[in-house]
Amino acid sequence: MVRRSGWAAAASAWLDRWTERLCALLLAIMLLDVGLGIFGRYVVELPVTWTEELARYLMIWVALLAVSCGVARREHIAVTMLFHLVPQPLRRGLAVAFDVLAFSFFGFLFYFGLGMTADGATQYATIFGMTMTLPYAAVPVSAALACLQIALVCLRDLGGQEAASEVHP
Amino acid sequence: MTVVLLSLFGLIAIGFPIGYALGVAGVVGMLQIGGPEFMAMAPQRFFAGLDLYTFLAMPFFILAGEIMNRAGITERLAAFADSLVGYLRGGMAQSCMVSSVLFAGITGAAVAEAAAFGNTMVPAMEKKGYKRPFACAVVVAGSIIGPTIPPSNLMVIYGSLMGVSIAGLFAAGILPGLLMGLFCMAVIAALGRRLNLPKGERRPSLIGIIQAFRSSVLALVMPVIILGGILGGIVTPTEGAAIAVFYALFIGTVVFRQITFASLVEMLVRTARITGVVFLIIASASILSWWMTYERLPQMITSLFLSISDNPATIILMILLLLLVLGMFMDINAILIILGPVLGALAMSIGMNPVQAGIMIVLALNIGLMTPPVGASLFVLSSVTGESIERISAAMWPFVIAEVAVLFLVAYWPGLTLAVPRLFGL
Repeated sequence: MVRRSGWAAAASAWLDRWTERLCALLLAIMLLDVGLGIFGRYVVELPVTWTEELARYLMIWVALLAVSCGVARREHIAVTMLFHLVPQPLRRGLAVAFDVLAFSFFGFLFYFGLGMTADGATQYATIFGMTMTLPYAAVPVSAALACLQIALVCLRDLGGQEAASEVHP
Repeated sequence: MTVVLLSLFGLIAIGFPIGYALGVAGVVGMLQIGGPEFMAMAPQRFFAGLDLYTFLAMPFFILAGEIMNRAGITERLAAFADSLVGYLRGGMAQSCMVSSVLFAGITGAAVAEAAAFGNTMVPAMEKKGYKRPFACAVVVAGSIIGPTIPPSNLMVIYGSLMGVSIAGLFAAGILPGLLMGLFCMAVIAALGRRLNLPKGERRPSLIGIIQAFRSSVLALVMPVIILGGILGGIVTPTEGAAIAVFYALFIGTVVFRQITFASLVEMLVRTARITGVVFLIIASASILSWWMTYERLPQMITSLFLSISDNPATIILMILLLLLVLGMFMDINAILIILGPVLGALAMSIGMNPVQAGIMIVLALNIGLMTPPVGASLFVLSSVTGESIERISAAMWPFVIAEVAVLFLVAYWPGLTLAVPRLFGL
């Protein structure tokens, strides 16, 4: 049983590691971008009007991509008092039901997020020549990633030790 | 409507993550209203809920706090606090509280502070003969000061949603935060003899204070510079937060030489992960709050309150009790996004100043971090130290009373919150 789900655990960890690295990179760019905005406003006058908007979209990408990292390590905050009172076999079933429901939610966001992203092609950001496709794409892309992680951790926890959804800061 | 609310509270109660439950309940609400155009609203609200420039301040303040902590600032602040009050009975607990106040000017989230202090100060206090539940209680009570004295993530969220000046909220949080520190120190002093808290080992010395001050002065001026810039209207809160990160990086790499590239990457990763958890709740709650507005739930809540009483003092009391009770069970970011605008508007409609109303709501929710059964700071301390939540809670009630007393002062004494903003002309 453990061996069968070993690949799911490995795949989840691999995906988590690369997603968090991408998030860290985007966060660093976001910081530099806001820094450039401050520099361009207070130190040397630079014609940089796009820094605020870019920073906003970077922030949304970072936050939403990181949602799948929270899935991978079950870091999303939950109130688990009652959950831990449930007898063990039932608890396992409940954990799977949670994963199915969460998968449906992110699947929903993915499907309708695709439509929003397609519509974004006709809307323009105030950044020179950019449409809203790229910013909006954060929703379906990260929802798909979250779905994938939910499926992987569900398999991992079914095969491995007991499904733990602990409270984390 | 009942289906939506039942699915929300039912799912959260049985342990479904709050960030998902808010979104599921919001989607159920949209399905009930019906029509494909409403389904398409869900991802739009999810996106728009995060699309606020002011929100950038949150990850930046988290990152700045991480860097300052890694740079060894916590220890230096603790040493400075110890030089001031360490000689008293219960001196370590007192200096832990003073450190919380000093660290509050750097951090915007209670949980990060609770983790940092829980790791270092609780073992140190235990070694000096303090009981562990009491040491934990001191750290938890102190951690509530972090998001009360600016910067504060909750103030950023509230200000962004309500169109209230974040700088004004930051200024207004200073006095209540200091008062909370003083009240908690009074509690420690009052309990000192009864709990037989150890006395400090040495007398205070002016030279000792000056030395500790010099070693921590770079950390102490950080909040002065950042908040001065924000309160003075020179920089926006987001810019101030970014400057805080650059300042912390400068201190950590050039002055104290504690930060390496690898540790910076690690801190960026951790900041991103925390941001993901918090922002999922914000984004999902935005779906639900759209549904609430569509169903005119805010008006219903408001008229329910007003039907019970039209006396402002009573309405404020009801708001406080509602927030304190909800804060015992729910994540405070979620409560703030869903109910903050409703209760804020209600408080303003009975003549409360928007800034005072904001601080009152933020403070009431912060207290929810320390109240059992579900309190984030409480959980962190319990998991960091291995002490049980029950025993920490039992040692903590005097501090809860002290901090609730400050909350009531904030709610019924406008001068306490508004004096500092007025000083800055905010």
